[in-house]
Amino acid sequence: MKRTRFLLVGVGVALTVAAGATITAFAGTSTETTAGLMISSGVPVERSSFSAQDQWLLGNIGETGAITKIGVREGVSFYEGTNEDGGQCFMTGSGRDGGGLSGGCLKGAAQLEQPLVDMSGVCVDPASGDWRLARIEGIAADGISAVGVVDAEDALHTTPVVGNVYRMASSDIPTGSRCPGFEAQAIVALDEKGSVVFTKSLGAS
Amino acid sequence: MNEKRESARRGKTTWWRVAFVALGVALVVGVSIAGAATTNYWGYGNLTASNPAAGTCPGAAAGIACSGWANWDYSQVGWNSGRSAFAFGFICQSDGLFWGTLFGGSESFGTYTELWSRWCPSHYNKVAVAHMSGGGGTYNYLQGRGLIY
Repeated sequence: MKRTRFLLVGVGVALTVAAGATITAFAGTSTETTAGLMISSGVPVERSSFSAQDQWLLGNIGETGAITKIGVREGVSFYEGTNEDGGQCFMTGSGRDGGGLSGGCLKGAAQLEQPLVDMSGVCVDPASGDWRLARIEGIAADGISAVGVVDAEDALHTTPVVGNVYRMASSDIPTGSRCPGFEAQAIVALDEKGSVVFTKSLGAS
Repeated sequence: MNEKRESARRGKTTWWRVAFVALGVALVVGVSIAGAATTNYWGYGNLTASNPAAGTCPGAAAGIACSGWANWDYSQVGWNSGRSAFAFGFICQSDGLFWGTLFGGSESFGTYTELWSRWCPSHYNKVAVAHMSGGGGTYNYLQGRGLIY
């Protein structure tokens, strides 16, 4: 029987090592960071609710703390977490269950001092280097009501922020060139009055 | 009586089978986690409009670095310094285009990792990083990595 117990302990240790950090972690429903990025939306998510691969990804990027699911927009889930130094981490999940994580953590104890965690994406023609802003998505601070793209003709194309997250519908993104998307000069954050309060400068190709 | 003992014996046997299968699964999972392979295809080095030179990533313009073709699971960048805009992600076999996340030079992510399925409809790809115009500088000092989980 002693041998049996010893083997059971071994099984337990193996499972623990294999699973990595499976400590259930909870965060508050309100996330307050800096004056630049205050996020009221969100619900705590248990680390163990993610797949083994997603938990590996969290460890790989250095995310070790509580995880908050800020919201879901156009099929993409947006998360916030922390690294061991207290710095912010941001992740997206594109799977039906909110998994399929991508993301990263700020260096050290850094906090993002701007009102957008913009996770937008580009399409680039490698041969020419020409590119388009093909996805507009991310996390916005309280008070940001819309995020917009300033195109090469200075026209502004906006998408609303809902529950601190935004993602422009694919039907609103131009097609026609080899790469879909906007010839973008900048991504801007708009407050409730429609004033631009933050600009992410880009250079249209 | 004998039937009860036989039933109890079968129960124990089944229990042990389950335990050993669980152990086996745990070990396999553990090996696969520990075995995640990382390949550095760029840097650390300065990524600029002219570095790397055109063709360093075969068929690509200057300022684009990439790996070879494989079923890369993750594209990863380790950022150290610099404030130019840059993008990193995947060159998808399906369309030959580079798709990835755009950093505008104002973020300070140490390590950022992208899953292939966020950008490519099929798995076979190159991992890549590209200098972009914009931001508040002319370079980024960073490392480009491909990971197979």
